[in-house]
Amino acid sequence: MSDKALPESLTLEQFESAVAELREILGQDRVYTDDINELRAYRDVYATTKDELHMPSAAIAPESVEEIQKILAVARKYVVPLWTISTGKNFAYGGPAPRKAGYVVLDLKRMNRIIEVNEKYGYAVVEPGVSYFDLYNYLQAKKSKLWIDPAAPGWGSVLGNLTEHGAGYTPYGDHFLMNCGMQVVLADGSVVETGMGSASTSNTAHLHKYGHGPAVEGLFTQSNFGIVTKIGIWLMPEPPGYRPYMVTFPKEEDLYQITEVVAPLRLNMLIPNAATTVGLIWDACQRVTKKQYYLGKGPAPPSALKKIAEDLNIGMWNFYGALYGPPPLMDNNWKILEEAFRSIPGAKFYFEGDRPDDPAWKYRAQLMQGIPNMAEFSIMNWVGSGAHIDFAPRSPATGEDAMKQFTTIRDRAHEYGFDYIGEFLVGWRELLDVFMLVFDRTDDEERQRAHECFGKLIEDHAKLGYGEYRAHLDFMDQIAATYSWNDGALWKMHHRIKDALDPQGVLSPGKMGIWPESLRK
Amino acid sequence: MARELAEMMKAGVFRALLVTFITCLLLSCSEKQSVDTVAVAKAEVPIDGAELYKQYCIACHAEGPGHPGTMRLGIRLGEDKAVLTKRTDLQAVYVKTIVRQGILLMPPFRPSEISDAELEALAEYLSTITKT
Ligand SMILES: Cc1cc2nc3c(=O)[nH]c(=O)nc-3n(C[C@H](O)[C@H](O)[C@H](O)COP(=O)(O)OP(=O)(O)OC[C@H]3O[C@@H](n4cnc5c(N)ncnc54)[C@H](O)[C@@H]3O)c2cc1C
Repeated sequence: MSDKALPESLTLEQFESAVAELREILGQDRVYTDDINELRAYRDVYATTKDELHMPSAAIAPESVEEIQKILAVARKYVVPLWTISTGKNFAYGGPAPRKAGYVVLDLKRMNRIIEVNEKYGYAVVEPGVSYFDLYNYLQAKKSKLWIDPAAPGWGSVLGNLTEHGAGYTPYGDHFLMNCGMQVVLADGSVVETGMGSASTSNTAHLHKYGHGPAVEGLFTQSNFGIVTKIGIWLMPEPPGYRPYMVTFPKEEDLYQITEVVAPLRLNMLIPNAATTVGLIWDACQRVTKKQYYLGKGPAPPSALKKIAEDLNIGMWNFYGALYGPPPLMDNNWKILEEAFRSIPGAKFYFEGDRPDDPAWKYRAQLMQGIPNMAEFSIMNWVGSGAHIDFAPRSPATGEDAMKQFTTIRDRAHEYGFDYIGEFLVGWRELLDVFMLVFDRTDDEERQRAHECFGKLIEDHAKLGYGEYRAHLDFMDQIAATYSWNDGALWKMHHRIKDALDPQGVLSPGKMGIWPESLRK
Repeated sequence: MARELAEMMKAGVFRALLVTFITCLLLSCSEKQSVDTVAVAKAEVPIDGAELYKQYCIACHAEGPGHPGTMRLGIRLGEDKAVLTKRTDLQAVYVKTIVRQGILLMPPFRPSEISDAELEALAEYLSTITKT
């Protein structure tokens, strides 16, 4: 027990007393303290830092709001830091692991009820433990005509992904935008329903987003101000038609023109879903590994990339989109899109049936249709024991910004010996850039190098004026510090809210760089 | 793989399981796991290993392209060992260790997701599927 991680301010005896009280609430089965047989499953296996930095002291799995309220009473009594997770699949940003060693993970996986599906108005109400697979299977079993919008990993949480501002690939891809109604348990144990849900006679809790007074849902996303225990999420009605398509482009420089062409089409909603331009290696990982093309050290050279493109019949950039709606509407829209894409020399078009043996096409076509899968994890197969953390800056949706981000990231990645594995999405008005920094996690030196590379990318982008939308546990403080306008006024406000709602700082201390007063430097 | 094992050992993962685990790996032995534990679990709650496999494993381990686990196993062990449900060499104790500890690109599963009793049933299913 001597090397057991403990909450910072607790002695072993105090910790054991707290655990005993938690066992009284949850029983033996839902309090996990065994470092090896239970808690190693709470590691972030894709982190660039050592497991010990994020090793929890315990994990607890309540099944109801009442149990959460009782847990909070114990947490306040002993000042136990609780790290809330839903399905805990936040890989690339920290997985189920807490911000610091010694925290107790508040694991909401077992709160997994689908409380309501409203076919007429197109929404669902779910608890944190409901995964995309769960909701999809439920709707299928009920023969529902509603789609879900999964993030690429289907095992993630409808709620947990939404509170992280996650994204999917149907027209409902901006998940937080589709949120309507939220239930939150505050640190003092009080339970709040937001928006219309708090009106005593409400029948519009999941239909109208705002209600009377401030819209506060955002305060509980990417934050540590409360524990979200239920959300309403709008679901897209199955359209009368769906046609996925892919357009490949041969040159790296084409990213400029693709972005210029796509941005107005997206803004005007002729492309109604996340318009995704996928880099060559990202796509190729579905079928091949690096070793098949390059055995040397460092990034795969241009000659290898060219050979991959030829072998797999893909481009340096591969645009995936879909048409939705009645066939005449899709026919008309396609005329405009085709003409726009044809203006880029070398563009090649593919439709349903054209790429029967290409798993990249298949999983993208599924995601854009709301069918969850796990195919994207094949990216980790690019290197032997692959892991990755994600760098996700935002910029205006222009060709110039896209190229600036791409070349900055690619050059920095290459300097540190890593491949560029990235994609660009036009969200609506902005460009969502995701760079997967893939490394071999069994190689300590490579892990360290990846860590340094990531830190440099944040610095590079801060200098260029780009901010990141999300961050891995190890980089939350560094990224928070780049949101510094007016002497850090925004984070000062976050800290005032934190202190007011959670004065003892028991909820997820350090989440997104928001720390309780006792832990602020 | 060797480095991965070393990493797990360094963390003390195998204190309890080391001997059985390595024996299984080396000999690819195929005896049954401890059936008693599964029977006890089943007596309390009827748990269907095949259903659990569908719920938690199939998305990565089904046959064919687009399944990252199948792809990795094919690279590492060869195509004949790529699909979990076609394996004849899977030992229950090995399945349980990998589920709780993870391996290569596969992150571990927590006891809040797959309980110990469910894990017994899942391991029993995967270690006997090709024999039934
Ligand atoms: C290969 C790969 C592809 C990916 N693709 C995508 C993608 O397409 N889109 C995307 O968005 N992400 C993607 N990700 C990132 C990530 O895996 C997903 O966002 C995933 O859905 C997050 O995990 P989760 O849903 O289990 O959330 P959790 O891990 O449960 O939660 C994430 C975080 O949210 C907070 N939180 C969770 N629940 C609560 C709560 N109830 N109350 C308050 N705070 C809470 C916590 O800080 C927690 O750490 C990808 C990752 C990988 C490895």
